Amino acid sequence: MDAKKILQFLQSNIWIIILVGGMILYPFVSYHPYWLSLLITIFIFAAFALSYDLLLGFTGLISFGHALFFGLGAYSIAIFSRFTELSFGSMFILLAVAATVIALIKTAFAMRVRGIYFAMITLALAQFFWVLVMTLSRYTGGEDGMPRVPRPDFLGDRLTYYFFALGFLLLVYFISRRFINSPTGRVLIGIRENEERMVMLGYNVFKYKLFSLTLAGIIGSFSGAIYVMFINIAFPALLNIQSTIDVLMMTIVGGVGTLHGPIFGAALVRLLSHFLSSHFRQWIIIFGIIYILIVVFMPLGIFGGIPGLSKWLEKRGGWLKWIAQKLKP
Amino acid sequence: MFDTLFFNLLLNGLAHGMLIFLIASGLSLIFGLMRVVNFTHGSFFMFGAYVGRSIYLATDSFVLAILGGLLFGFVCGGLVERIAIRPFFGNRVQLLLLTLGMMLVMNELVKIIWGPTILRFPRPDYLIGSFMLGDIILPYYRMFIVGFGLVVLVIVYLFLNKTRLGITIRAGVENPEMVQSFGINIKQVFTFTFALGVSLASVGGAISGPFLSVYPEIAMDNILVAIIAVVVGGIGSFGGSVAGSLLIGLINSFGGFYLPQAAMAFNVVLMALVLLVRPQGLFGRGGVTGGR
Amino acid sequence: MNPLLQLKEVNTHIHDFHILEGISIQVPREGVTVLLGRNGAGKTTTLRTILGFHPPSSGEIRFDGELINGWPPFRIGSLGIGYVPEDRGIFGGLTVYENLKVAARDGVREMERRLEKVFELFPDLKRATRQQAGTLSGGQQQMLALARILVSKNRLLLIDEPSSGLAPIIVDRVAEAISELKKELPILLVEQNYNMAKQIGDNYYIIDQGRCVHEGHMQDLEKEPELKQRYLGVSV
Repeated sequence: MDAKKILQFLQSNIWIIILVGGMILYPFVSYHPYWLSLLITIFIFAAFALSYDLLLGFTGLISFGHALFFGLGAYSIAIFSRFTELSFGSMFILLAVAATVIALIKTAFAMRVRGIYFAMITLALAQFFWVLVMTLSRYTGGEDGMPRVPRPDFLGDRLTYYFFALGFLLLVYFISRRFINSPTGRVLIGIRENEERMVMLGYNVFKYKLFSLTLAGIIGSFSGAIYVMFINIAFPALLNIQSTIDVLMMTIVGGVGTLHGPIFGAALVRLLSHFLSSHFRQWIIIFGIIYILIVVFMPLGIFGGIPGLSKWLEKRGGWLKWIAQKLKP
Repeated sequence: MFDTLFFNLLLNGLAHGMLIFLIASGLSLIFGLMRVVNFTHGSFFMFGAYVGRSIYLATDSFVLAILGGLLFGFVCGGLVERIAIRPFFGNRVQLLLLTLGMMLVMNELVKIIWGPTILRFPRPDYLIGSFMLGDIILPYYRMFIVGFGLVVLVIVYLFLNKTRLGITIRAGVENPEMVQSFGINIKQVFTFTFALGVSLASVGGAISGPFLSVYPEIAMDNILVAIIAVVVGGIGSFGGSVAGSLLIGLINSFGGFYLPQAAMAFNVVLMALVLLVRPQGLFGRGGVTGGR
Repeated sequence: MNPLLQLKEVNTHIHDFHILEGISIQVPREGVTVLLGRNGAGKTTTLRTILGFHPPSSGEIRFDGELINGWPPFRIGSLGIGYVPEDRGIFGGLTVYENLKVAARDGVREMERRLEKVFELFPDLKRATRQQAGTLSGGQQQMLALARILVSKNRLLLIDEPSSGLAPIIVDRVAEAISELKKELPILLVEQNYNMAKQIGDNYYIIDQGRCVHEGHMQDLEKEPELKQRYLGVSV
């Protein structure tokens, strides 16, 4: 454990460390149950958005049905806990298996159809699940959802859940980052850039897309499970198109293909919707307009737009240049 | 078997199918020609219903309401294309996200102007009631929708096949570059096609009002169904959009009666099947696995 | 004797790739000018630059004296510059007649007027007016592509590899058709097939790696076997 290496690690990840440190210290500085809950949901949706970025930003797969995984996680936990005696650990393992199966199906479709057509299929699949949930209302509670979703005893306390959610997000982030920087991740980026070339180079594109979809699916479904364990209820709206649009917005606004972008996108979206809704009755439309402005003027999202900002700052020189250096990824 | 129930479901399905066709045909043409997924299509359908209703309540003329819906769509569609679509041309993903955002804003706008609750669009007096064919009861309004749809279908078909502009649009769906090489300003063709497509959706909304009622969710509900119809029928194919829409309308009607909750599932299953077996749709012409 | 089309030091970049490096070409008001060269030399890019699909990064393109750099493709097309791309550019889902109609820049009446002559030249098409263009054979599609040029008043024709993908006997017929066409309007032809070029060409330019490396009269090129070998891969 070289002192120099530790110092290097600290330096290159300074922002993450500051932020994470801040999040860890926050509850001890200001304990307010309301904000704590808000932050918990932000952490969970940040992980969900991150999983979406794996697909959209790194593999180049446009999916309009990511809510499917979220809903899968949500309803799996709800159904398992109500109708079976399984431990939480087993539930999550089964959930991972289910997510993998769904990912397999989606990948099969992805090999047959491309681009917008694939997006439509994913939309259709998510809708299909929604219909399934509504049709089997005897088991799923239909429109009313499934209340009284339990959570593990050791997570009973809100503060503990806070650290659990934060830990989950960090784990997801680090796993994703390692995945992207691994040789497999590089191949994925190659697929995003020019799939045909990768095929001609002899890569088994199916295998790589499957990896990506499986990872994204597992993270997405775990997010859904953790979410309903927190709010104690699973309901069909988690599966609908609005849900997918929400996570799409978080990813776009934050910055596609950056991994950290969607995290901030999720925070921004949730905080904005919280603040705007308490001040304006028609906050959704304002949000929609902001979203349009971002798509038009900062198509790479706020964190995608940072490189441009950096260059601008650099040209100004002096201490602005120092900030620009710090902002570099 | 061919009793009142059957004919009622048939008429219902055809009426619904016609409304979907009015949305899907424009959507298909716009996507085929310009490769733009126009999410605002559903919103214009919705606006057509609201605007049509307001005009009808204000003027007591159903004809004006329909014309108003048509004109509203054409003018606003043209404006949207010039302001929001043309500048971002070529940037497919950005355009997709943009039309998505515009759809959300438009859907909220309607709630601000008219409120979020369901509004009733009364039928004009001469279309109230039913036609009796022996034992079978056929509501006039539904027949009107089917008839109106047929008229529109014929007009658009003639336009696409007999007029130079229509033929040019069909040519542009296949190869916009070549069309330009013949001295045709393809950008103007795009604007016109977009406006035309949108106007079909909004007039569809106007006539749907008395049948489906008027509320904000009709935008989202119908765009999803229309997208499925377009995919099933084949992108860029007018005939395909007819087939796809009527098929979906009928499946919804019959399927919805026997298994109400599963109605949407049928659509989805149909689309999945088509995409697996014949990805370019029933009447489509390739381009699904890359290319344009 | 000023040329109809003139390119002066035209440079074209496509996605950061420098494809054309200072192309200078003159197309006279009559006859067939051929662009020869290997695959990837930049011949097709030259045509597409003229047509406005790739605006030049520097240099001048003048049509009848007028500067047309940076004009949108439809405006260049409306000047009367016809185009037959390598893949023919046929609208497969439209009938033969409808294909002609789209190309009728001067109006349908003018097109009808010219149709008689067109069908004289391409009798196959006369029989097939109601047929879907996508079902025509390769040779027939090439005829249709040429016919589309004739239904309005065009002043220059750009053709890209007319013999590509066609059987030798069809290539002969295409060469015949082009020989007839050259009586009507000047042609700028891109061709890899040296024999076809030799048959119908009057002047030539050899393009290699985005540059003009040689030019002259077609009949003189016959006497330069090393040139042909070096740039065209044609052995005597």
